[in-house]
Amino acid sequence: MELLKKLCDASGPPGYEEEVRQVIIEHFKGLGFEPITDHTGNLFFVKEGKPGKPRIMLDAHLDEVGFEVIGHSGDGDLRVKSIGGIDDRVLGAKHVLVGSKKLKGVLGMKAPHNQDHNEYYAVVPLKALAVDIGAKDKAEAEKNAPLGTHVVFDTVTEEWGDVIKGKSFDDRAGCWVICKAMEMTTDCTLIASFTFGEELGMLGAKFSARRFAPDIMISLEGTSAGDMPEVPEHQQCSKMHGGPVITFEDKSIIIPRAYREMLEDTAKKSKIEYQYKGTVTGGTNAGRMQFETGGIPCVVIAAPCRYIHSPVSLVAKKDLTGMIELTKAFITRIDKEGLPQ
Amino acid sequence: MKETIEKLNKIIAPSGFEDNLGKELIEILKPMVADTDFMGNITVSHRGKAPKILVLAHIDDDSIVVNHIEKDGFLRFYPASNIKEQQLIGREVVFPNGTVGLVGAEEVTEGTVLSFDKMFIDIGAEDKKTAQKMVSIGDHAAIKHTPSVVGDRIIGTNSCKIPSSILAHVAKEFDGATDVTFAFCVQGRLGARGASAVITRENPDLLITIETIFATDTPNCPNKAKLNLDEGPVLVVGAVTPTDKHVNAIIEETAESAGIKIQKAVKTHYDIGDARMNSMLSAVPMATIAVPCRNYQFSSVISSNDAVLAAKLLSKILRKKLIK
Repeated sequence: MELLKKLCDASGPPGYEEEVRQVIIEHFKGLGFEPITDHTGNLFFVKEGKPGKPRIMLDAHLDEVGFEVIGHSGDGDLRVKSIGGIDDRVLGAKHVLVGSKKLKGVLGMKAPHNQDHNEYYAVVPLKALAVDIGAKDKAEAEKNAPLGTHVVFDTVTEEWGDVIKGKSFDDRAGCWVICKAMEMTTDCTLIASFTFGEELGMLGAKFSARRFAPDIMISLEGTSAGDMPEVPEHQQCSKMHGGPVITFEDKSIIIPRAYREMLEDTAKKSKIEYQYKGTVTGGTNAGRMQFETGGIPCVVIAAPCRYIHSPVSLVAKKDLTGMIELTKAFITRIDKEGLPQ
Repeated sequence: MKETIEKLNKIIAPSGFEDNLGKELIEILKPMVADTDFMGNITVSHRGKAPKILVLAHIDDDSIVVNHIEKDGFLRFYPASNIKEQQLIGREVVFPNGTVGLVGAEEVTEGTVLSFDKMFIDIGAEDKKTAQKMVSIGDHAAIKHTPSVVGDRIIGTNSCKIPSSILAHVAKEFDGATDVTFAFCVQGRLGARGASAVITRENPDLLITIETIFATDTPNCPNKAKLNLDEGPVLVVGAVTPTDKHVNAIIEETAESAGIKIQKAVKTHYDIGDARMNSMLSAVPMATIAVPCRNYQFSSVISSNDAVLAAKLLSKILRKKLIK
């Protein structure tokens, strides 16, 4: 869990993934892999298999939802905009970390007695919030957090018994699963693809797909758990502790039936508890890669995360280990049987 | 053409589940040899002189996707393509395996705002177990159509069957010298997903898409450019769909010299399919020929003459030198 903690605590909103990349590079160097990078910020590691065997890409995105500094007020506050989708309702009074120096800050807002009637009863939008880093004036704020400085939620990853608390399981959970899965032995070529900018619209995916043109792509993701009060069964995306989530369809892709069935069958045969992504919502890099280089079959395996895209998410250890087992079992099966015809 | 359109109307082809229609198209296209990829895209290639032209038509229907089966056998669903709630209430939907369902909602009273999470499909199953034998999670269903032919017009056709019918006619008879690939693409109603895969594989020099477009000759239709049934195929112009002026000019000349009356229209919305196809291409010229359809909540009235002329026009322009 040490690596997962390092990955989740690293700051990396879209376009600012350097810290996450360094954690991954360090891990793979320990395993004897050389990093491959491109100008966009994607990071790859390749484990060559035997010729003629399928080339399997394992993809996870490096970025998390966060903010960037777009201005400074006279009082020394930072004005920020979100990069990636964050609900305004989870923002007020939250601790944040600013820039690579990780300056402490808080998303400050007007006190209730200063709010007019309408403001009092409305959700406070991000534009009405400011990041307070304790700077005494504009000059100090500009010096410590210039324009284009990234901001993330200040959440330390902790183990809560069978559950882990952290800020960025979407998609450091996927990054972690790849790190673990790449240690396996197989005759297939494994391409670990850590892509930038998924939260801003799958920005890194096409470069990754075009560079390696894999025979199949396995997208490892963090997805939303919907096991909350007042959410009817048919509106629940997934359930925590329910095992890895297999997507049949989301807003970006219909998983090719033969591939999805092979993945499900692998889970059944390996006795890995799994669940469907129950809602047709969201999208992943698979949505972008599916039509690159003439069409790449993609499957998605995800970890159910409660309170995704917020300062604090929860993920169950069991679901994460299930993801690793399922990914490895699927690769072993592809190695043995080849891809569906 | 009428027969083909009627035949294809009988085959349900929701996005992602176009296999049955694909098989029928392969049958229609014989003796041409058709290739099918893992997504289900069907391509027929006439190898010839450069430039390499790719002609696309989508083959899928607008559809819904089942995400949950209730214990009493009702299906919960999401819209897969651009479908509005009120367009579905009370309509019959069909799954590719023939299972028929009726769309209902939990409560429809005056003033109710319909939302998909309160809607369901009744397939007549008495419980979950029975329903699971008929439908699986992830299955798609499309709206049932039973068109009638009145003279040259087809009433109640699924407009999604028109582009593929036209393309099948042209592909089967084409004997020009140009290098042309005819592609019958899956998941077009989800934003040209199949087409995008074909484009990245074929890497064409020119792209021609066959589509349908809303006719505006209905009572009190808002004042857009007049697009009438029976007045010929439509050449799409303007910036919204980035069609190529040079290619469009050749298409116009060709239509004129062949005595084919055409109409022109500017697309009023930039759809995700166009955007996606463009992002897959690197500055490749594009042209779009469309058939006017009076569209009433997924069922359309068309003139088969317009479709016949669209096929004739396409066949003629593919013999022209379209790009330098």
